[in-house]
Amino acid sequence: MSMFLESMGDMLTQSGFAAFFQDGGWKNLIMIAIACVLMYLAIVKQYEPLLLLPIAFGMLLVNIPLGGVMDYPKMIFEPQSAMDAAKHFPLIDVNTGTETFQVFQNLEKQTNGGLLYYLYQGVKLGIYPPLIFLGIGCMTDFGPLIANPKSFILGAAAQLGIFITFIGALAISEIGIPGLTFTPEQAASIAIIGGADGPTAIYTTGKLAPELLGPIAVAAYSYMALVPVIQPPIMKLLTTKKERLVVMEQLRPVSKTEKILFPIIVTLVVCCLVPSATPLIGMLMLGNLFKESGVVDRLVKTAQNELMNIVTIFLGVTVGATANAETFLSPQTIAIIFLGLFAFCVGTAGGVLFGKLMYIFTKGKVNPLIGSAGVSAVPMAARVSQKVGAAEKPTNFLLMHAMGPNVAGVIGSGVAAGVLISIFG
Amino acid sequence: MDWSWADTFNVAITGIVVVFIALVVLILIVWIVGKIFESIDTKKNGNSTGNGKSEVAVVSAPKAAAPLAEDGLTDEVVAAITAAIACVMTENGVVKPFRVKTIQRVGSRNVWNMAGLMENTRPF
Repeated sequence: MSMFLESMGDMLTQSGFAAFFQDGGWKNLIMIAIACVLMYLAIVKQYEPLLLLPIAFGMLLVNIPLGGVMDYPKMIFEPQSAMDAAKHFPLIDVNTGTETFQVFQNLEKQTNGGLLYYLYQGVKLGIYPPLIFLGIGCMTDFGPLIANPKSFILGAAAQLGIFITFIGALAISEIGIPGLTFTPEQAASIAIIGGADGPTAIYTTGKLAPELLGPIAVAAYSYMALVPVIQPPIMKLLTTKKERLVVMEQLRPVSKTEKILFPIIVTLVVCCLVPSATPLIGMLMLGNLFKESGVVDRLVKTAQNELMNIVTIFLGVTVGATANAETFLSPQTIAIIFLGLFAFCVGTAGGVLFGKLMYIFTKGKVNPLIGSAGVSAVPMAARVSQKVGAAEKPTNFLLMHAMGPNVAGVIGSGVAAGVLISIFG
Repeated sequence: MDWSWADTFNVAITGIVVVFIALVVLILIVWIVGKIFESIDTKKNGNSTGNGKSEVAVVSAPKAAAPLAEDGLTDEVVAAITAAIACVMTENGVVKPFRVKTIQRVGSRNVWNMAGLMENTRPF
C-alpha cells in the first residue's frame, strides 16, 4: 500500500498539474486561459474559425507543462564506462604516447523533438503559406480586377498601413520603454499585419522575426475577423453621404483568354520586380492559372480542398504552438496588438482616401467605399464595402466593384512582403 | 546594426514606391491586354452580324418569346436560365450580347442519370 501511495505521489509531483505551481507555471495557466478565450471566439462568435481554432488549440498544447510538443531535438550525453569510452575515443598524448580516456567519459545521443516541432518546420522554412496561397489562387476570381484594372491602385494604397506602422513600431522603440523595443526586422513583421493577409503575415514573420510569430498571427487573424467592426466607422468618417451614394457602372465581361493570361502576366511582372515575393505570388498565380485554364479540374479540387485543409491544420496548430508563455506574456505582445490595429486602420484609411481621389478624377464615377477593400481580407473587406454602401442606398451593389481592390490587395500585400524580406531577409 | 531614422524612412518610402510601381505596371499591361481583346471582339462582332448583336437560340424552335409562358415557365425561371447561359458563355470566352428566343426541354435522359454519368466519367 505504501509503495502504491509512493508511486501515486511521484506521479503527481511529476505531472503537469504540479508544474503549474512551480517556477513560472502560473504563466502557462494564463496562456491556457487565453487559448480558451480564443477557442470561444472561434466556436461561438465564429471569428475566422478555420484558423483561430487550430491556433488556439496549438497554444493550449504548447502551454501544458512537460508536454514537450514543441521541444527541439536534443543532443544528450549518456555516461559510459571509462573503458567503453576509451574504446570509442582513444586519446593519445603526443608528448608521452600514453592513452588517456577520462576526457571522453560521455557519449552523445540524439533525442527526437516534439510532434509540433517537426510540423513547424513547414512554417519556419516558408512552405505552408505559399501552399495556402495556391489554394486561395484556385478560389479567386480576378475578373472584377481585369475588368477594372484601376482597382489595382486601391490595392496599393491600402498597403500604406504597412509602411506607416513600420515607422510607428520603430518610433515606439525609440522611446526606450523597457521591454518595448523592436528591431527593424520585428517592426517589419508587425507592420505586415496591416496587409490583412494571414499567410503573408506568417510568411514574412517566419523569415524575419520567428520569435514573434504567435502574437503576430493571433493579432492578424483576430483583426481580419473584426474587419466588419473596424472598417465601417473609418469609411463613414472619411466619406461624405454624396460619395457613398455613388452607383458605379456595370463591369465589362472578361474573356476566358484574358483570365488565363492574367496570372502569367502578374507572375512575370511582380516576380521580376520583387523576386523575394515569388513564393507567395507565384503560388497564388499558379492556383489561379489552374482554375482559369479549365483543364486541370482535379488539381483545382485538390488544391482548394484537401491540400488547403491539411496545410491549414498544420499551419494553425504550429503557429499557435509558438505562443509559449515566455514569448507571449510580454509588453511586446500588447504593443503588437495595438500596432496591428493601427496598421489595419491606416490601411483602410489609405484605401478610402485614394478612393476619394479616384472619385474626384473620374468626376464621381468611383464610390470611395470600395477603397477600404484594398486591405485584402478576402472577401470580408469587399462585403463590408457592399454593406456600408447598401446602408446608404439599398439598391447599390458595390460587391463586384469592391472585389477588384480586394484581390489587388492580396497582390499588393505580397509585393510589400517581398520588399520587406528583400531588405531585411 | 546601426539603424537611424533616415534608414527607417528610406525603407518605408522604398516599400510604398515599389508596391505602387508594381501595381501601376500591372494596370497598364492589363488595360492594354483588355483593349486588344475588346478590339478583337468588336471586329468579330462586326464581321458576324451587321449591327454587332448576335442571337443565340438555345434550342431551335419556330416560336419566339410568347411560348415561354405557355410552357409553364415563370419569368423567374426564364431569368435564371438566361443568367446561367450568360455565365457559361462568359466562362467560355464568348462576350457577345445575345437574346434567348425560346426555351425547350431537350434529351430523353433523366437529369440525375446525366449527373451520375458525368461524376463517374470525369476522372477519366
